[in-house]
Amino acid sequence: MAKTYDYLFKLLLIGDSGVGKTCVLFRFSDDSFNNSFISTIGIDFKIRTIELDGKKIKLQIWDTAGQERFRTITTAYYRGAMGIILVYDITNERSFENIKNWIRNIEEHAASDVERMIIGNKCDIEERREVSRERGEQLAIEYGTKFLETSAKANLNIDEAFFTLARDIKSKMEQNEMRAGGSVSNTGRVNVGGSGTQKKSFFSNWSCTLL
Amino acid sequence: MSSSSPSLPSALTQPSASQQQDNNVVEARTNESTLICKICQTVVILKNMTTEWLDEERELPLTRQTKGIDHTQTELVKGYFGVKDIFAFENVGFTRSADGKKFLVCGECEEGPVGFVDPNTEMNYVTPERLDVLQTSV
Repeated sequence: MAKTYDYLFKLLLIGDSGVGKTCVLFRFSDDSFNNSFISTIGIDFKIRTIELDGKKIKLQIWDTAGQERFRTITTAYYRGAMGIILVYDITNERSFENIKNWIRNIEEHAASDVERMIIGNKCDIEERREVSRERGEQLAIEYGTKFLETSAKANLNIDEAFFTLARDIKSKMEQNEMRAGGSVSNTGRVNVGGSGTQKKSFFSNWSCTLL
Repeated sequence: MSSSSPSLPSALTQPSASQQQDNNVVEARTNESTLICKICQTVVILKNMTTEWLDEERELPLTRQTKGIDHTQTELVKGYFGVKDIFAFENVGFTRSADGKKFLVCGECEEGPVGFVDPNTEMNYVTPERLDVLQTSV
């Protein structure tokens, strides 16, 4: 069947367990029912489709869902990832502290040009906040990443982060295509897996860092 | 006794064999309508994306499980559109494996299961019973 999209980006959500990487999605809370069947078994990955500048983009989003520790996540898991969203819980100081460990892990195992973003998630109520917005912003500045606080309740969900990250990946790819001397051969290319592209962009990026 | 019996067995076996086939119908058919989540109305799959219709009953877990019950409550749901390519979907989530089974949910609000993955064929099936049809404004 003919491809019905222009780009495919693989994104990862990582962070400590219990930071609510999945909790950003609203669910029914009916007193007479337990958590839904789905939240009990958990989501492995999602396919989301967005449109940016007239291009249809498929996002394949993997959520580690907190079963992992950063020590156990290695190269295989990051393979092909073009964007990584680091999530901490604003009501959990430790999850914030661990972002640094996660970043170290990314630097060790992921492609060097992977797009990154830090998310402070607040599934819980504001009164229990342990990490100020300013500290989150400061950390993002330190690591040169974008930063967002998300809230499922205010419907400021993680989709916004996906959009931002996808936009960054897309414009980076387009820049690289232009630098590669005209994008004729690359237009409409579908980047399944994406690792080949990342290698190329790695060099293109370095070649003009100082321009 | 010997004169009447020869025709009887063949007459009986014929219909029962075809009945068995009817229970396993997979036909080539695409989804004529765009299917959306019943809850958040997000598009799960655009029309004309699936490749087959599975006309069978399958057991799907209930979306919401009653409190205080220690087993998964299920119901039989009949009829599924199938497609092999996971990127045929607009917005869908794949669950982790539960007792060897993986299910499909809405990619936005995670309502579901709205379908399942066949572990043998790796076909992905969604049921119109748990999705709505996108009403196109003409």
